[in-house]
Amino acid sequence: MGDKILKEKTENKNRSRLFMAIKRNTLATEMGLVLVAVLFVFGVTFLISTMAVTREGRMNSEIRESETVINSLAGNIRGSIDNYKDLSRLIMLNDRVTTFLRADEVSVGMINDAKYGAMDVLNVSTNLDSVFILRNDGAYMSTGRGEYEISFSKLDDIDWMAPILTRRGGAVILMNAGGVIHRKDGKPVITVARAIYDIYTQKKTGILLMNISTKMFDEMADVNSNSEIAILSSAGELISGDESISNHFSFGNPLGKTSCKEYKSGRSYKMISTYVFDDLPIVIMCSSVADTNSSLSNTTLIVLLALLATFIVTMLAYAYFVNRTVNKPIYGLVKAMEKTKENGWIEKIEMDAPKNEIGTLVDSYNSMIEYLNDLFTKLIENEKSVQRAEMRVLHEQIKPHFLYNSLGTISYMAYDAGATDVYNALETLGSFYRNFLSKGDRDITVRREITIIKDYLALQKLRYGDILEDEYDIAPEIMERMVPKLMLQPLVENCIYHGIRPKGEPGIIKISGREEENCLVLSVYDTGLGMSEEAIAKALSLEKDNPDADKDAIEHTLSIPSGFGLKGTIERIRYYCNRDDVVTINSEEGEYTEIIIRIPYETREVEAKDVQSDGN
Amino acid sequence: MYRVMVIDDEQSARNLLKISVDWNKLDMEVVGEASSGIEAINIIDDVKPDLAFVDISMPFMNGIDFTELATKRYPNLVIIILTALDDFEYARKCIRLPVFEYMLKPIVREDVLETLVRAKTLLDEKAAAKKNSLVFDIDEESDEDSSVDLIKKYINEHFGDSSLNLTGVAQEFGFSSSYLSRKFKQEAGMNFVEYLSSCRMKKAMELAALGKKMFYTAQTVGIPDPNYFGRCFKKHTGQSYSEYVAGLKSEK
Repeated sequence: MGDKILKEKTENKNRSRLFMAIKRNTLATEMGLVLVAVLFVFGVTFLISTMAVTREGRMNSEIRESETVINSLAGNIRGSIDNYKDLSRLIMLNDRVTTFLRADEVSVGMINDAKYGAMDVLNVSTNLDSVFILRNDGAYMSTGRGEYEISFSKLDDIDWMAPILTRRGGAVILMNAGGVIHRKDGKPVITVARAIYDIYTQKKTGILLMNISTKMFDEMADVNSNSEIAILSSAGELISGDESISNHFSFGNPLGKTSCKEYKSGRSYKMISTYVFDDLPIVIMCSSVADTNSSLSNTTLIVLLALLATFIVTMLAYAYFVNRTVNKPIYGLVKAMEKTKENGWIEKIEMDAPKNEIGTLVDSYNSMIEYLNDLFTKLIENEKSVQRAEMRVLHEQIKPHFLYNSLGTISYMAYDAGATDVYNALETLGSFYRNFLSKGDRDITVRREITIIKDYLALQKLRYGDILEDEYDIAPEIMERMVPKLMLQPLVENCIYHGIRPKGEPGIIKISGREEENCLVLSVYDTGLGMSEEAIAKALSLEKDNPDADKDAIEHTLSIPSGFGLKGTIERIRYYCNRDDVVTINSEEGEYTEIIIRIPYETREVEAKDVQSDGN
Repeated sequence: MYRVMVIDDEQSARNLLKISVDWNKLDMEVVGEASSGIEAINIIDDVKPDLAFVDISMPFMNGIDFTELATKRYPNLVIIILTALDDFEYARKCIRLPVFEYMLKPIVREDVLETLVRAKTLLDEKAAAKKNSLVFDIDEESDEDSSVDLIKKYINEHFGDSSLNLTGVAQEFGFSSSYLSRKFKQEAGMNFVEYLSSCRMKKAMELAALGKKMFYTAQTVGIPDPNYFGRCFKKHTGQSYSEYVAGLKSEK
């Protein structure tokens, strides 16, 4: 179970990592997409054009094929028909038939003779169905296989007769004898019709109708296995062959020519060629099934495929090249820039960039960074000098020497008047202010800070003398150590106003200082109200109070002693040491408060270096 | 007993320093005070201090200029700057000069006492060293006599220079100041300071007769500090400058 979950998790991780990679490396992704699109479009175009070319080739080959088939078939049919024409001539010239025709009076014997005479010729070919010979006087003879219906009324029709007579003994090919003779089984017959003229008198003696069975076409239609063939009458009636092809018959095709048309059959297309005889009432339709392999030569196909493969390979190679020369350096550049962003410092990029536009980009970026850094340095310098100027102005405004001189004068007046106490107080006040202001120095010695506190407490004792007692326990070796000015004084002030005075009992303030593990340890201890854990946490919290909270805090201080100045001082010490763990507060509510500050020596040295470099 | 001089333009500041230190206990005595550098230069040869408290911001000749002059003329003088000006520029100048201590007002007795104790040690050392060189001082006395006339002439030409005093002239002519002082009094019948002052006051009375304003006269005769000039004038003529001018006018 666990394994499964783990696996899923890693999968998700991998997926999200991939997603991230895609998201991050959008350039490569876009290029990949473009590549895929180009390949796709090219592939589709290739397929379509190949198909078009193939189809064209196939159609051409089909047309050629069907023309060949049709031509040979048409030749065959013409040949056969010519043969049958010759046979009909043999019948016409048969002695017994001639006798039947020449006789003024027809006898049954004559008819039978003529029958036998015709029969001799009929027996030559199995496809010859029957023979009808009509005399001018309306007598006729018939012989052959099968049963027939003859519409005698039509025989006299001049429209039927005319085409036969105009040939003056030449053979005319008609379907079902022009509608006069029909087989009883409904099968069509091809009729060779002739007008018979007497050899000697050259007078028309009768009409010969020789019917040929359509079986003769069946053999022909079967000849070519590759193509499907249908043979129709010019009226569209199927004579022999495939009915599915004859269904596509339509009128109006040009005579004596092959015309091709494509028809849809199922899913595939079928090419059907139609040939209409100009001298026979016959139509040949042929559907050729072309050999697909032969439609497009293998060589062509191989060449095309090779082209496609070359193209794809070229594209991939190009993509690889672009990825290597453009994508990767850019990705590296972005990574380096991201690193700068993470660091939060504006730094130069150090990477092996190719010596092309990307290298130029790196160089430009670096020089821009240099310029920016210069600008920042200048700005900081400006800011510093402005601050210095402000401090100076402030200092000038305070004009402390006026205060000091005045204090001196008043001190003398007090002394002169015998008010030694006043003189002492004024001296302390003067000393306090002298050290308190101390030229706006940021750092002062511990000795001086202690002097400030002593003077301050001396003055405060004048006010609250009866409840205040101060003690000092400072190790001599730390006296000349530097500390930020007014680091302890606000804490002592805090002791009085939030510790001892609200308690209403006499209290002790004790300042101690010593060296410990390369640290300067200073503590301010008072036997005042103490602080609740909440108040300690608040004073030590790293969060800066927002302005509203400040307002609250001020109001809060007015009612409950919490130490607003305390937090500010702690923040200042933290900032000075550049770390957060330098202040600790021990307290017991109602008993005491002890604030301990540990300043590591090295931070001071760093500070000193900073000041030095500032000077430069 | 070391001699102490206090130079400060504020009366109360001078007084405060005088009363806030138990001088006797330190084997010291405040023997003179001056309200400006000009006055100090003029009386320093009479006062002969071993140690001087000098304020910086004083009119006409500030503490720095005075210290520069005084330390050149009196190399053994111990100078303690006592000023309300906590200015780096001044402190820098003082470091260049042989100043013993740079103290800030308002004074704290403890600090003053501590500084004075250190100064006393230095003076003790110097006194011990001087004992050995005292022998050479006597040898100087065999010198030509006409020099006093030359010096008188020099004073008459140069009294407009406010930094002119006995020691300065002695250095100019290559004498020790004590020798010159004695010799001058011997030959001129009055001491150097009296002679210089009389020259200046004579000129001042001439200028007063012309109706010149006091500040102009004071400037011209080499006592640009009008307070000190006023005192000198009154001492010499028995009248203040304005009274004197008014008197001359009424005579006409």
